[in-house]
Formats: sequence, structure tokens, C-alpha cells
Amino acid sequence: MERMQQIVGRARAAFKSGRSRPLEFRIQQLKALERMVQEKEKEILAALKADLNKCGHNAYSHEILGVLGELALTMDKLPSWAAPQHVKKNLLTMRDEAFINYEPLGVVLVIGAWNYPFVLVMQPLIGAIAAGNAVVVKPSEVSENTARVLAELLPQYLDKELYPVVTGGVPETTDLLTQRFDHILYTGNTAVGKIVMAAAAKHLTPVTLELGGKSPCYIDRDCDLAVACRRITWGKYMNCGQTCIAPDYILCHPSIQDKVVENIKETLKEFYGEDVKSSPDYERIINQRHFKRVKSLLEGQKIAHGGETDEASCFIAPTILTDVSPESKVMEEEIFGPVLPIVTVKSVEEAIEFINLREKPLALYVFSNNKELIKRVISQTSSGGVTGNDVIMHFFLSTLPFGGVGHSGMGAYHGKHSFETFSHRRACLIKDLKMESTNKMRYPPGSQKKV
Amino acid sequence: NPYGGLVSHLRASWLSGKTRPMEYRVAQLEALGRFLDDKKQEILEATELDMGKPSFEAFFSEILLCKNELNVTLNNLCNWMKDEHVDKNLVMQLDSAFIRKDPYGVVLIIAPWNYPIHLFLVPLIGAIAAGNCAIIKPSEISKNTERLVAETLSCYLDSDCFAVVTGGVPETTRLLENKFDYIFFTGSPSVGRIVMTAAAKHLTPVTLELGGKNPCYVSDTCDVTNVARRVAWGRFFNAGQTCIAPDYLLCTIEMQEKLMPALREAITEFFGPNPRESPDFGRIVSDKQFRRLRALLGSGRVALGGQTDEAERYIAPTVLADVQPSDPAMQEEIFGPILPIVVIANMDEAIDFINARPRPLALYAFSCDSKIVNQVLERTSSGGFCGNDTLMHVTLTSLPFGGIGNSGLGKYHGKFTFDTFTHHRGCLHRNMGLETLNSPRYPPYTQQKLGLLTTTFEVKRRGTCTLL
Repeated sequence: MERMQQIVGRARAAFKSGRSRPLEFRIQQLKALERMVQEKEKEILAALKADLNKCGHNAYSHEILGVLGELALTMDKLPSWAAPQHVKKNLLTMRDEAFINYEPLGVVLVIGAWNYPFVLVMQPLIGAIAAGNAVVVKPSEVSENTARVLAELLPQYLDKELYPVVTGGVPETTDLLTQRFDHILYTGNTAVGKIVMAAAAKHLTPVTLELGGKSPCYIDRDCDLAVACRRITWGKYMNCGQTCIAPDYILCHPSIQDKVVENIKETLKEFYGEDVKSSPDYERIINQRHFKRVKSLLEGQKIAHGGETDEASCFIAPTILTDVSPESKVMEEEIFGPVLPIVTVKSVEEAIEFINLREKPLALYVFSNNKELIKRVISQTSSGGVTGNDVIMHFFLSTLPFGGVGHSGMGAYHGKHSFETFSHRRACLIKDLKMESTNKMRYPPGSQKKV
Repeated sequence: NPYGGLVSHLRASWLSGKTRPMEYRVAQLEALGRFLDDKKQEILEATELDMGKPSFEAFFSEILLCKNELNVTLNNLCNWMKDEHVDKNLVMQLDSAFIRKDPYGVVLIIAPWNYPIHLFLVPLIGAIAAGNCAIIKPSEISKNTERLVAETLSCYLDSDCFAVVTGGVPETTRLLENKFDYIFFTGSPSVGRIVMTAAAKHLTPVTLELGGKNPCYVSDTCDVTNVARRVAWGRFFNAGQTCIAPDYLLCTIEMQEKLMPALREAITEFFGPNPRESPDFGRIVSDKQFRRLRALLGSGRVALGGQTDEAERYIAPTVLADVQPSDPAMQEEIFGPILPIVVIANMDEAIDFINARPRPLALYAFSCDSKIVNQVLERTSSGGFCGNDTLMHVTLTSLPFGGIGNSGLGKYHGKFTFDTFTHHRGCLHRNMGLETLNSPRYPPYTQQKLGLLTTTFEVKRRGTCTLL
């Protein structure tokens, strides 16, 4: 408790000193982060490989590339984002200055997750620094190698007091959450999201919660199945299914179920070869606990493809389940593994109803040649975000806010949305001390004429 | 769960989709406008009964400002509802990328007693405009207004989608057990914590409009007469029961001396020699609040006013001089017609004083020297800021209204209310063709593919400019 108090206290004192506020300082810190990513690429990739068996290509393209892009974008745009925004005035305020000032919130807490352990710490950190805050970084202890690398590298490149890294598990995080922060961004699961928000409520701390859920994927009969299945296979099995916006389950008409399975099987062979286990491009489940959890979801299911597991290496083969019952265990919780259930529905209406009976997901996917149908599915459902005719990709467009709704989260970030999440938009009206006559209308004694 | 049925009913209406078409939203908003027009007299009377609200003030805050918000919303709703197309990167040039404005669902609006119509109606405007269903919980303390709203609002709004719940703390606690898709709360920080904790159980996002002690710094270089008028107006409006009222004044001892006669003059100009007889000065809302305020009169010394009448719940427009930071008047948000003056040596001391305390909802600085106003602005933090006046920043609908830290989270007014009750859903609608463009992302991975991905995905830094 005391240790956390000290760390947060130091960050707060550093923030109060004012040095994180000038744009030059913020950009200098962001540049340092950029140098860190470029100079220490090998170490970062090695940590990701050790944690998740993430191959270089995936690690680079999913975690490093995005971070470099966000850094470049932020450094470029920061002066315009941070500039006071003048607003439309009314008759009474015509001669005044009215603007919105973007100000830092103070000390921000970023709690990362283990599945994309680098990018899910870095992207919020970039936004928080850009907005002028001090930031306490708490990487997930489950991805321990990346946590260690972050704890070693960040202090080497960034201001140590303003941006401390705190490592540890549940007890340390619980301790940390008793301290007062000015914003908390948490990426993780729904259950812990509630705990974070309850802790934040004690201090009236605003939160951004990037949670999860079961992201549905509806495949219409009228679509290019080969293309659709290839895209779905990519999104589902990347990172061994451990992606918050992976297509969790498929909804489709029974008449195309077999074709869907065939297409996915073909694609899997194309991606990972005949022996998936020996493909350098296929990851592993993060640890024993999650391995057991995902494996248990296969019980009693019709396995159309895959199903092989190896506990020693936390390997679970890319698996497809067919004719899955909506009441089964695999349809209750977010799968977060390389298991793809197919639930058959007779119509798009049934699919929409199915989706709406459940908690709002983080992402929603719909494949169809019929634009109107896609529009209909989107407008009659709710989700954090949507990609039509592909999966995952809306995450990569930083002009789109990335976040959940309902049980999948609250708030959003990426690009400018990160900057705004970590800023206080302060309304400012500056009047003249003269021109008192215009004010006389509002002063008592009140009269009908004044009204 | 006494409110379970009501919430279910509204949720069923929400799921039916009837609140979503623009025509429906416009019709409900126009009905709200008719409510304000038809019930204007009743509103003025109810608020007068509740807290002696002068009809001039009631008209201004409960009718005029509300109608402004309605008109801004009706004038712009079509645009606000539209999908917002966003800039795309190289890879997505042929796709459609936009932010959809989705309603949340069933929202809860909890309003306080001091501006009892305004503080439920303005959030409600945004909630309806954004396509939600809503439960409105007016304050039981302003009981005449509560009764008016409970009895008449349903005559104007669709009762399948909008309901009023009355009651006190026990009822509100039970209500909060239900799952809402958004909660908008205006009130005290301590209750704000309770609301957010209840919301956390369902992961319900919230906007909390809270309060605090709004400092008002008056520099030595200023037009004393105008300052006194503007400060007195802001302080004594609604008998001080305003979340953004200037709570206390910070100035040098010389300025305190100069301000006193000017404040006396302003008070007399506004309310006459005996404010108790002025129809333009309000009363305290309840006995409990009256007693709380009366106890604060022992802080510093009463330089102006100080008279009270328990039967009428009248407290005269009062200025306390030489108040110490440890005095009772400096321990809590005053929320009454009492203005303490705390003497400081200079602007730096004033800024330190402000920064040592929780961040307020509003912050005021008066000076003829704009550099001083800017310094106070830059070296402090608050929900909103107004230089050389009080209260006025919240009447401009293009400015966001909200707190920071203990004074709240979230913001509203104008488009910000619509945005508050809207889920901004990022949508990417891709082309089913052009599959070859996707191949660099698929396994098996090669250096060449990585190179391609890097080229297409990378955001390059445009020419560096080290000096901004």
C-alpha cells in the first residue's frame, strides 16, 4: 500500500510541477518512445514470442507497426489537437472570447492486458502523454516477459517520475486501485471491469473500460464464401484466438454450414500447412489455466475440424464446432481461444434476434453482398464497433473510436480519440470588465420589459 | 424490485425501436416545448413555493434556457444523427468508414432541487434527441415541482418510453438497483459516489454533474463597481443555491475594503434597502438547509446582511469579511446567499490557495489586465472558467458544461448532451472484392509480406518541426 502511495504520490508531484504540460516536452517524450520501439525491437519481439509464441511477423504487424503509426500520427497532430477550440457565440457573447481549452487530467492509470501486451499498454500511454498527463503503467502480469521488458525499458527512455511502471498481480493492482487517479483506462474482462469502476467510483475517477464479450459473425447466404471464410479464419485464429475483437462465433443458414467449414479448412491449410503445430506462424494459449478453460468448452460438441490439444505446450489446434446449441458452455462466455462455434439460424431476422438477446459485444461482423442487409444488421443491433465484409479491421483505422458499449465497455480511444479521452475539455468564457450596460438586462429588479 | 416492471416496460419499448426514427424524436421534443409553454405559470408558481424563486429567475433558467436548448437541438438534430464519415488510411480507400450515432437504450436522469425543471429537462432533451427511452427522477425536496412534473409530463411525452419516478432516498436506492444503459446525475459529490458505485455493478456509463467551492479571484486592477455587480448577481441568484455560483472571493485586503461599499450598492440596487421585501430575492429550500447556512454566519465577520428569518427561510444577501480558511464557511460548498471573502496577499497566493483544494465546477477571475485573467486560467484547473463575469459561460450552448475531479465527470449542453447519450460506434464497411490486397496480412508470413504491410499501414511523420 505504502509503495503504491509513494509511486503515485511522486507521479502527482511531478505532474504538479507542470513539466508534463508544454507541448515540446510531450513530443520529446513521444519521440523517446519512438526511439525505444525502434532500438529495442528485438527485445520486444523476443518477449512477445516468450509470452504467446507470437512469431515475428504477427508481433511486428499487430503490436509494433500500430504503435509506430500511432506515435507518428500523434506527434504530427498534437499541436492542432491541443490548440484551444474557439466556439460559436451568441448575441450576448459576441464581443467575448469563448473557447474550449484542452487540459491534462492529472495522473492517469493504464492497466494493460496479456493478449496484446505491448500495444495495449503503449497506445493508451501515447494518448495519455500527448494529453499532458503523468501516467502510471500497470502491464498484465500474465504476459510476464513483456511486463518485465516494459518495466526495464520505459524508465530508460521516459521521465521516470512522470511515467512509472508498476508490476505485480492481483494484490498489487488492488492496492494501486485504492489510490486516487484522474482517469483509469483498463483493458481486460467484464468481471474485473466492474471492480475497477467500483474502485474508481470512490474517487469519482472517470474510466475507460475496454472489455470483451462474444463478437458475433453473421454470414449471409448471398456472399462470396471463399473470401468471407478466408477473412474470418485470419481474424479468428490470429494470436490463437486470443483477441478481444476476434469473431467469437458464426451465425449462418444451415444450408451453408458445411461450405463454411470446408472453406475455413482450406484456408487453414493455406495459412498453417498440414501440421499446424509445426507452423512458426501459429501461436499458443497464454497459460495452463486458459488452456484448460478453452479445452473444456469442447466437451460434448460436434468437432467438424481440429480439436487436437497438447497441454505441455498449451497448444490447441484451430477448431470448428458445428450445430452448436445456444445453451452450451461454449456459447456462454467469451471463448478467447481457437475454437469457432457455428450456430445455425434460419434468417437474418433470427440472427438479429439472437444477437440482441445477448450482452452487447465489442465487435460485430456481417458478411453479405447485399449492402442493405448489412445496413439493416448494423442498425438493428448494438456493439462497440463494426466491420462489414471483414473482421478486426475497424481497429486499424485510428479515425474510428475504438471501444465497447454495455458489458463490452465504455469510452473509446485510438488516434485523436485517445487525446480527447485523456484531456479535460474546459469551457472558457472571457468577458470584458467594461460594457456593463449589456448586463443590466439580467440584473434585478426584474420586470416584464427585461424578460 | 419495485421498479423492475417499469424498467422492463421501457426496455421493451426501446427494443421495439419506436424511439429511433427522427420524426418520433422531433415529435417528443416538440411536445416538451409545449409542456414549457402550457405549464409556464405552473412552473413559476411551483418553484416559487419550493424556494421562493423569483419569477424573473424562474423564467430565465427554467423556461428560456430550456427552450434555447430545445431549439438548438431541433435545428441541428438531423445533422447530429447522421453517420459521421471519417478520414481513411491507404488500405481502406475503397471502403466506407463512419461513426454511427447509436442510442444507448434506457437511461436514468436524476435531478436536484435547485433548478428543478432545467436540470432534468436539458439532459432529457439530449436523451430523447439521441433516441433513448428515459426514466426521470426529480428531487423530492422541491416537492411542488416534483408533483407538477409527475402529474403533467406524461400528458406530453409517450408514456411507453418516458416515465417519472418520485420518492426520496429509499426509492432512489431501489431504482438504482436496476440496469440502465446510461445514468445522468446532478447533485452532490457524496451522492455522486453512491450513484457511480451502483452503476459499476451493471457497467453503466455515467455523467455526474457535481459541485464544490467555486473560487472567485478579484485582482487589484479592476473596475470595482462592475465586479461587485457581476459577483453579487452570480452569488445571490436563486438565493445562492446554484452549483456554479461564485462560492468565495479571494482578494487583497485593500480590494476587500474597496469591494465592500460596491457590493452594498449592488445589493441595494438589486433588492432594495430590505431584500426581504423584494420579489426578486429567493428563499432557502428547506429548514435543514436554512439551519446549515445559518451556522455558517459565524465565520469571519458579517460585513453586509446577516439577517435571517426561520419562518420564511430567509437569509439576507450576506458578505462575510476576513474569513479564515479554517472557518466553517470554507469547509463545504455554501449553496446559499453568503459570500465569504478570504484575504490573500497576491495572485500567486490566490492560485496556490485554489490549487490546494479540490477542483471546482467553475472558476472566476476578475481583472482589467487580461494577462492576469489568463494566468489564473492557465495555472488552475476547473470544470469551466469565466473571466470577468459569473455564471455566463453555461448559457452558451456551444461550450461543454461539466466538472473535473470532485466536481464531476462528463459534460453536456447543446450538442454535448446529444453526444453524452449517444454511443459513437466505429463502423468499417469493406469491399468483398480486391482480396489480393489483403494477402500481405495472411500466413504463411514472409519478409516480403511484412515489407508490404509496413508500407501500406505505416503512418509516416510529415516534415519535423521541432519548434511549435
